[in-house]
Amino acid sequence: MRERQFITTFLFYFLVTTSTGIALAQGAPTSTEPNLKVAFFGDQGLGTNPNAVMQLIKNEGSTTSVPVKFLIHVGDLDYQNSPSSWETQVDQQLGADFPYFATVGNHDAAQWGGSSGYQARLQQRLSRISGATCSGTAADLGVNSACSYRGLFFILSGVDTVGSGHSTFIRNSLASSNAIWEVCAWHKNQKTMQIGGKSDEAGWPVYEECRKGGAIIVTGHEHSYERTKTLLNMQLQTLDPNCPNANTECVEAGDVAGRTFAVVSGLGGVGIRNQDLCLPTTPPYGCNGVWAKIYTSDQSATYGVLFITFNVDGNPYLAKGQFKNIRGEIIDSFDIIKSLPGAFNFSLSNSGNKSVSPGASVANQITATLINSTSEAVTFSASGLPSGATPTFLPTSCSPNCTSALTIQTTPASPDGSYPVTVTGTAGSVTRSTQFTLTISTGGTITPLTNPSFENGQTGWLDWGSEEVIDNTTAADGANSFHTFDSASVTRMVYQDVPVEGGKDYVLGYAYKTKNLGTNQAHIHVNWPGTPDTSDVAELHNLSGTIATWQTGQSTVTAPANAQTARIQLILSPVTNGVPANDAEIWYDALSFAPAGSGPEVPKNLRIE
Amino acid sequence: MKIVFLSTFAIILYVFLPLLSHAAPPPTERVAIERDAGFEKRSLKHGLVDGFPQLPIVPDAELVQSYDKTEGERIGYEAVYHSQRSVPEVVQFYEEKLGSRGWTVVDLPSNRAAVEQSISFKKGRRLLVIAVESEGDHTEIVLEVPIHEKHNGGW
Repeated sequence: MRERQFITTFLFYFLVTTSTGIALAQGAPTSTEPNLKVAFFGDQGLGTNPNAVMQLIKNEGSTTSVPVKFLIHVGDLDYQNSPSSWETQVDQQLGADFPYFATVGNHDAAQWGGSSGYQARLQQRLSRISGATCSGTAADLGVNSACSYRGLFFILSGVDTVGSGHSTFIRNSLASSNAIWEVCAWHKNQKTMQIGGKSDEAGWPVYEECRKGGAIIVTGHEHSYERTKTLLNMQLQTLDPNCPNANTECVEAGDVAGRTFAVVSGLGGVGIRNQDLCLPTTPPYGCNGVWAKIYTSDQSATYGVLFITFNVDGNPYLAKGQFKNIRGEIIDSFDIIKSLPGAFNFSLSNSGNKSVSPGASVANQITATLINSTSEAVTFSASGLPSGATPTFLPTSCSPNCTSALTIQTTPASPDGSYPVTVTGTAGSVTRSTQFTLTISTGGTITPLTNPSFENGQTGWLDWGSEEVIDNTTAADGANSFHTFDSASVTRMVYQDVPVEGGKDYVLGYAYKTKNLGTNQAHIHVNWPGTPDTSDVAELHNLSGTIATWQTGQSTVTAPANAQTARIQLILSPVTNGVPANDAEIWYDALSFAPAGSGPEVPKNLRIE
Repeated sequence: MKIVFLSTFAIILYVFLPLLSHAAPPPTERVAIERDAGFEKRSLKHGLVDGFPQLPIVPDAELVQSYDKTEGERIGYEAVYHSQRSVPEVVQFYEEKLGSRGWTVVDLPSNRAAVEQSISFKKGRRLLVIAVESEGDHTEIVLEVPIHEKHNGGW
């Protein structure tokens, strides 16, 4: 009896402590290190674009102060069956010791194994990563391997590409993990888990096992970026009614109540495909709202990387995802909340940005949504309000699912401006927050332009083309400006719609600089969709040549009586008056659009170059 | 005489039947329409949907399917072909043919030896992305015109 107990104990410790076997789940959940940032991408190739993607990863630390600690490549490494070429490229771009994990892709399979194949080279890299462990033998790496590094538990699967038994391996591996954050990574897709032309290849069992195990799913194969909302069933694409927000993902283990989301991150450098499925190409898209974000050639995509930072802001159960392209633009930004089975959890949202005149009040509906377990009372508070403004919540606390009406009362002395307001909900040790912008404007209620200074890339502006870029080398305010050029024969333009009141005067403020401009090439039009009228900023027409320093201007326009929307267009027209073709350039920045009399429309605090 | 007639008839059958069967394209199916709030997608197997841009086609390529998608004043297209030519051959074909028709390259393949390559072109505001991938026994060619304003230059 004693001998049998000894053997059992020995086997238990062997399984728990071996670095190559599967550890049994035990004890308290283990966290990742704080602010652990991991890069995810696939479908890489060799050459200029793949190198730009790796430089994005390398430079992430200097641009955000949170460096990437390692990357997980979801297959299709170089498309040339050349492990040595691929490794040389990685060494040159990231260094020979950069922690680099990968799954096998369909274009890697022929050279995956063998003494000089991809797998052997990844195994050698693994041996140089202090603290990283992967289960199984060298022949399992990237095929049926469960790895742990810096507290993140991740599975590298070769489903439908190399090996067998993948779903069983995933189920057993996730059951043995006690990490808070777990990721399933493989290459191929199911048709409805991507929005391009890929067919059912990976099979549903791997998706479902990862959902049941409470793991984030990251794949490649389709050359685009797309992210589902939180799903309660991957095969049926059942949306989680308790986690409906496109910018919040909820992850939890459970055979029935388990939930997660799937991401395709396939813009590693070898091509950019379009959106075939789940049309239209604009949010909320089709397919019953399954997709939170879609970024393809139809959305003017370029190459990029998904970054996920785990254990954020001192909260081990909070992660933040960002897809960033090689132009440095943040295309997608979202929170991920991990719930332990049975633990109370909730999310908070608001009804959007608000505007108010000094002395008046404005309301914002705060919604608390139950994510997990039995509901508990949540108490609300607000911060970030301008001087003299007071918040009132009715009710002051409630148990999700519930809403509270936040009323902000301003005073006549409340200063004009935009204020980021944070609403916080607290239930014991669980704290959640939601943000919105409060605009105080003497002229009355307005809806401000979205991203008026291009600090968030193209966000809010439509009709982006290949000769229209965000320029981070010059700006009238902030760090960026809108730059368009090369107008030989066609019009370059971006535009944005804002709601207006018919018959009212509005003042448009703007900043600009030019290079080699021809007469009548620069235009800012204000169209009024639904009416035949157009208002034009005529003073720009006479600009010509080069204006190297930022200039500002403003123009008053009157909305037609039946207008409900203003469409503000920033334009570079085709070349005229003998200016050499392909040589004209213009920069726009610091746009503003507000009812006349509501304050200084010309942007304040502009940089003088 | 009868033998001569039969022989002639057999020769005619031998020579022309294979040509007829080879020349006959796969039957074009009816346009399938998918429509919902904000968009309409028209798909056609073995044929090009009406209005598809006139673009050069690799000589031996077989048209598999095409579609267009319309969202208000915006439209995009896609066509899929299969060819026996290699990926580099197809990429070179389009580089030469489109270049001579006034298209300029926006993005060249990073690696000319890769088994999957993408090359994109522009002409005015019009963008064309060509994805070429080896799929074992054939090469898949996908011509993609991302969604764009209908009035931007026409085709």
